[in-house]
Amino acid sequence: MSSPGRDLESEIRAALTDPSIQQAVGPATRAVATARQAAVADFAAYDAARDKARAIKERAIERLPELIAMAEEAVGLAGGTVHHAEDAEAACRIVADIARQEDCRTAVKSKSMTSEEVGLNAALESAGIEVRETDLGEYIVQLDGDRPSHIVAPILHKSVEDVRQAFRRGLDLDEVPESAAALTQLARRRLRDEFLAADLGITGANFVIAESGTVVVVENEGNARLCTQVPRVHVALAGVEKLIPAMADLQPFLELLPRSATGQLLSVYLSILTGPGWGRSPLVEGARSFHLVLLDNGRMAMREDPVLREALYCIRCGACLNVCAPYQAVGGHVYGGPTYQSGIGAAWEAGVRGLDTASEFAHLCSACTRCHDVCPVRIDIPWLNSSLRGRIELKAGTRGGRLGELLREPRRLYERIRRTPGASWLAEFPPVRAYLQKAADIDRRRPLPELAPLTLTEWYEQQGGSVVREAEGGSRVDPAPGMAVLWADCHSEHIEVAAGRAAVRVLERLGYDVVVVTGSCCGRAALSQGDLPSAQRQAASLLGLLEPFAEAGVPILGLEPSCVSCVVCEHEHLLPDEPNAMILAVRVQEIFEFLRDNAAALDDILSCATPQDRTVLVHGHCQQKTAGWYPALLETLGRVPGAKVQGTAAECCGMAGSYGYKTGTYEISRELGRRLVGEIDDLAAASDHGSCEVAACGTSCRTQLRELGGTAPRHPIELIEEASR
Amino acid sequence: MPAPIQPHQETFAAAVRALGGSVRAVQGTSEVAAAVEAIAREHSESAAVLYEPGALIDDLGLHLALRARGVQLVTVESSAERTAAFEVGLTCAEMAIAQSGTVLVGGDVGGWGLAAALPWVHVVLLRSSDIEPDLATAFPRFEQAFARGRRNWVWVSGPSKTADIGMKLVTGVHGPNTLVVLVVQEHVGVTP
Repeated sequence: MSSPGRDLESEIRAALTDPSIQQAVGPATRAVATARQAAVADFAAYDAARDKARAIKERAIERLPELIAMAEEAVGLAGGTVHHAEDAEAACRIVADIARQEDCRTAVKSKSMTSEEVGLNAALESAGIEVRETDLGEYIVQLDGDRPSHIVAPILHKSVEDVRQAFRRGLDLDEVPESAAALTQLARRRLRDEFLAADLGITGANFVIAESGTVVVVENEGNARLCTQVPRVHVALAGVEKLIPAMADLQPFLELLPRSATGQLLSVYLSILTGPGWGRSPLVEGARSFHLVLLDNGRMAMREDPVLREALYCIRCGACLNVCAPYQAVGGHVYGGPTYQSGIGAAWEAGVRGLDTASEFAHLCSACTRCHDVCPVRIDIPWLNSSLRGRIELKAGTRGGRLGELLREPRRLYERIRRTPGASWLAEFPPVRAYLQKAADIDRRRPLPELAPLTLTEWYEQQGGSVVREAEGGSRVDPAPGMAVLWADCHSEHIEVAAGRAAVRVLERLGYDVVVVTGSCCGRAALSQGDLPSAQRQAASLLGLLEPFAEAGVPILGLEPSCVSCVVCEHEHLLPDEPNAMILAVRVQEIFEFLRDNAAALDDILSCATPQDRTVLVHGHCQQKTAGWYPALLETLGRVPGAKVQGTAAECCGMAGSYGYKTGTYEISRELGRRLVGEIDDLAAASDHGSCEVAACGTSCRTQLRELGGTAPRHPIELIEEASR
Repeated sequence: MPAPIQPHQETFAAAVRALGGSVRAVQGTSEVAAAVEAIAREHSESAAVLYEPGALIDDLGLHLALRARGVQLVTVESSAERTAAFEVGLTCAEMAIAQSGTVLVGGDVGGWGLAAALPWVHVVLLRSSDIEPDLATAFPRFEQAFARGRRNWVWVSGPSKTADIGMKLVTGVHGPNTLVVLVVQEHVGVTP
């Protein structure tokens, strides 16, 4: 997808070859994500706090007009003034007017994405007010004429050398210190004088307590302390969504925000400020004043929008950015809009600037869903993104014609290729690849999947097994006790049938009558490409096929995490009016969940195997991790005699279905795959055993590893099958 | 009689230390005064301390004790042009959170925020009985104080810090580089 304003493909290529971005972003995001993980793991009430925070936000947004009125009254009682800014321009005008009326010439400012959103600095400068950013990262951004690439860590994309250059140029210095500590002290000395000279202090607000008119600011450096305590005038600029009703509501957010943002239990400073605070400062002549500017700029419209409303619950912790694989690869300048980055950034840009701005980068989401898992207020960012992309597609008009449609339903595509003699061979023919790239954005550098000679159901029929196929009406199989359904998703049916064969054998050894069922695509491919109507149609069709088994209580087991998670996690969104979608979501399981629940029986069939000492390196599928199924996989594989199981840390392989095939995202995909291969190579080199087996549940993950790593990864069920012979 | 260590004091001290601050248990006016004096002399040539009035300072009679030791104690309000020149700031915490190593400094009058923000060294006085185990127990108490009219607070967890440049942890960015919490044991010389 191209956009009029940006040449994103060039931006991606530049970021992937930029040594600073490549050296800085990956390690920094991973370190913070690891710290977050440790902090929430140690917090027993984490999920309870998330539920509370979520409920408070939902309620606050519901009552927003009332909270705005409450805050206005309370701030007035505390001796301050509330201003309402309808849009960015109004916000800038209001702050400039305050500065003029209060006779302010210089301003010091602490970090505020909201001020970035409205372009406050430029507006104040043109009104003749000098503005100094004082957060260290923002100061460096300002010295360098750059812009933040992360809502919490603005210069995450810069190396130490980049920072030294920024000081050298921005401060016109001949000698610049080497170390981070010395650079920081240089900034402290320079900025301290500016704090003391400033008339105006500008901050954002992490929360605004409506009942008392209190502004809450979370920070680590102490610059927001100085911005609010030293100058004569304090202006806090806050989006209206920052309002929460009462002080009691703050607690869960204090428990969640620092943990999620940086892995801290609490930030170094938490400022709780009501009104101008105090009257007799030795640093100020006369009385101090306080102004709270409440910004709409699209937020009240987001509130009315059933999809974008979710984004208003965001507390700007940045956890979703840190686990975002595409973000890790290219950073926030590329995967982001003018102000907000990554998945949640697309929703925010859509809300405050419009769909066109979001459409410039929304397709960089690989739909890996890791962000949903880490969101402290449980925002379903992947669904938000799918819905946004649906709107973008609708606005742009569907691309690719019939070929495009086929790409949004893998089963039909595979069947078409099967029916066309020589199609597989022809498809790799260069002019055909050129056509596919032009017509359907399929990057010619990515090999096309190879179809298995026999489909899984064809094989099973040859074995005399029971098969249900939707397309042909199939032979009817009535649900019965002792039955297990192996649901063959498009990929397990047509591409990598070894996993399905192994699953059939394992289930048979466990004593089940196995029925292999295959039919419509689950809707994942269409969903990830923003084609919601097709996804809904496919989901309904699959539901029709599987619901007799679901209603009868027959376990329905899947092998491909992206397809299983589509049924379990997305069908409720796709089919909101279908009560049976919920039943299906309960009955459909990833096969390892089922095996964990049948551990004793599994141990029986594994007990005949001769233990084979080896290391099994497992790459967990992104959606499998989000759904919470990954532990079952590790536990089940750990039951294989002699196997030492070790997982990778990579959030996502980067292939993500069509993501790895599309021209616009192929290079990000390849970079993420390359990183995963690197990690696996390192793990293998460090393992106790000479030989390592690599296993992954996702067809995409295995494709990526095979193409980029030259290894031959298998589906973990194949290892179970081998060990239970 | 040895000072009994309050149940959460050790957790608190460990948490503050982990954040790069330090904690000392002190008992009675002379020990507190000696501790403040040592810090003042280490960091300030004139042994001057910028402070915010607080009940604990009054209860301990710290003004007289420090004056006797040659330490100047200057309130923020009366600090005139010198406010930003002090190397050492002194405040009293209303309570603390053991798990996170946080002190909660609240106030409404004077320039309460400045003694905790401007100097290089921030010394906090805290009663040992005011240490709450975690945020869940501290928050209702904080909320009550807030509801009673203490509307301006700074919660401090360790020295000012950043990891903005090359992910290197650096302290003393804009706020104090050194945080010392003097935990006043609840017996001698302290009126509960």
